[in-house]
Amino acid sequence: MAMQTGVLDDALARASAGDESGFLELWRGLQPRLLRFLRVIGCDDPEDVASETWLQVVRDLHRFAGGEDDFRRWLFTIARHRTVDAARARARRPAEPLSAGLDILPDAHLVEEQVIEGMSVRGAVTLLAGLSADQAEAVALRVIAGLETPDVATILGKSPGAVRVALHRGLKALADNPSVRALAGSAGPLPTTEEVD
Amino acid sequence: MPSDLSGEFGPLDPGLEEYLQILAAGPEAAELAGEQGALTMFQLNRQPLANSTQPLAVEPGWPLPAAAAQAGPPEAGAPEGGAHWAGRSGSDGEGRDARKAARAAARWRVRLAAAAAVVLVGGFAGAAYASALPAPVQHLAHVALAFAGVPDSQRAGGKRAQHTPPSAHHPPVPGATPTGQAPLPTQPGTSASPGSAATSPDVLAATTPASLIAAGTQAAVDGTLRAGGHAVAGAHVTLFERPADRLGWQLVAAATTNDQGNVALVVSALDTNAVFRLTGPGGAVSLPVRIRVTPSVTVALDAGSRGLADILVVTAQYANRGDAVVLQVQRGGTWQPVRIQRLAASLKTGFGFKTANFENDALRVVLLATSRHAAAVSNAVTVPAPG
Repeated sequence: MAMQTGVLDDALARASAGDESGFLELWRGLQPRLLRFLRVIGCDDPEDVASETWLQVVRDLHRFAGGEDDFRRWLFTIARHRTVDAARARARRPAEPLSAGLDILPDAHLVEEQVIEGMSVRGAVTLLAGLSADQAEAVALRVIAGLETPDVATILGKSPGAVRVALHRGLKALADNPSVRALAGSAGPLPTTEEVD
Repeated sequence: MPSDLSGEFGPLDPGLEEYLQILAAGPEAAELAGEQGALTMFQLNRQPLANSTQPLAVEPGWPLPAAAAQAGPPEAGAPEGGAHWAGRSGSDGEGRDARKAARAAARWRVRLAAAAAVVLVGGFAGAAYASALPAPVQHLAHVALAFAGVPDSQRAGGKRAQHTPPSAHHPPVPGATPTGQAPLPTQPGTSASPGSAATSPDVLAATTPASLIAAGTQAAVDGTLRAGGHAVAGAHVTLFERPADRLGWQLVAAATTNDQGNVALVVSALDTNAVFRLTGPGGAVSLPVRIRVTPSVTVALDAGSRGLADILVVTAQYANRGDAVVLQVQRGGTWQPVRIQRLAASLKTGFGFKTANFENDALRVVLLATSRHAAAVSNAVTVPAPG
């Protein structure tokens, strides 16, 4: 599961030269991680922001110089910026209130699916998003994006030490979560809905 | 990744290790659903490599690029280059060297001539811009360089009193506007019409005449394509749609701009909320336009036997199984929530109630909004008095 760095170097070089197969290889390798990262940081519309991110990447790819590690750092930095832009745009155009003052019901299926199917990727992302913002983002960039701690620090504008502290606390909170604890050993019991909640 | 983290934070709990593996697992099918859309976006927006888009501009007084410097004019009396190609005879090599030197000298002469031409044209244009040329020549300059803001002789003469000469520190340059502003940089992919004052990227704006429509009806997206402030006619514009809860963009319509640079595109029978984008030439992409759909919800009263219990039957179209509907009763002029239920797979549900509790009351249901559709309100029915 660990991201093997450098495997996309060739695809990156081909994509930079305008090769479609190179771009697709790059996209397939990083789009899932991009979507998960965007969900963790609370992006309202991850698919749309991911599209915006790739659009900027494609437009500026001919000026990009570096390897896969640099590219991932660049990609996730753009994604973070686009998320902020999207949030600002949404704030400028608040959603219309529902008629009769009713709220949209929360999606009740997520937790159920998570319990039934064990821990899905989506469930894992949801769990991570439940951490404090700095911890969730640090873990997401480190684990999902596959960046090194100093790179995470650069993107977040923090010191590597502060990022390590956020990572440590985030990992500890995750390790203490009943759903995560239940993952130890495949024969272990699935958590109940109450535990997941 | 867990092994990396364990190196940084020590051994990880088995559960956490497993969790991190899931978090960074391989792609799921849904995460790659937008592949075709991504490819299309790449095809429309990819740019040529930087080193092929940067024109080599040799201007007088500027240092020559290294490659040009290496191929500079041969010095008189200097020995001929001794670079011989492996496998070539000496005479061939010497002949090739001589030809290379001759070509280099020719290139150098061409560059010098080009530089001189730049100086002359630049000086001429500068003088023309400053209205410093004789009137007939100034008029010719105006005809040739009007796009750059060179004034006509008569106009220049008439406005000479108000004309402020350009600053000595910022001499006018060809292409500068009369206000001294630098021209907009030409970017790859621009399609400004010839003769325009400046070239700028295509700007593609998308709007919709109705951002909330009845589900299953036609959605419309209008677009306007402009470059350098001018409408771009005859350009191919495509409409992409991303339905709610789906990852991929799909091409749904295409059209050609009219003389005003406008296009009007429609999507028939939109049955779920969706985001639309227009794409045009030169990588122009509009901001997203969101269109929401309102499902159809109707209620009908099914009178129970002996007046004991009635059922309000709810039927929805273009909603989804599990969507929530709220039964409301009108009391005191306001609609008050009574109960909530979810739609079955048939997109129907029913609220059972005792007639006596709602005698002569008006009832309706509200279908709550989801990511796939907007909220919808049903018709109202009045519960008749028993008997």
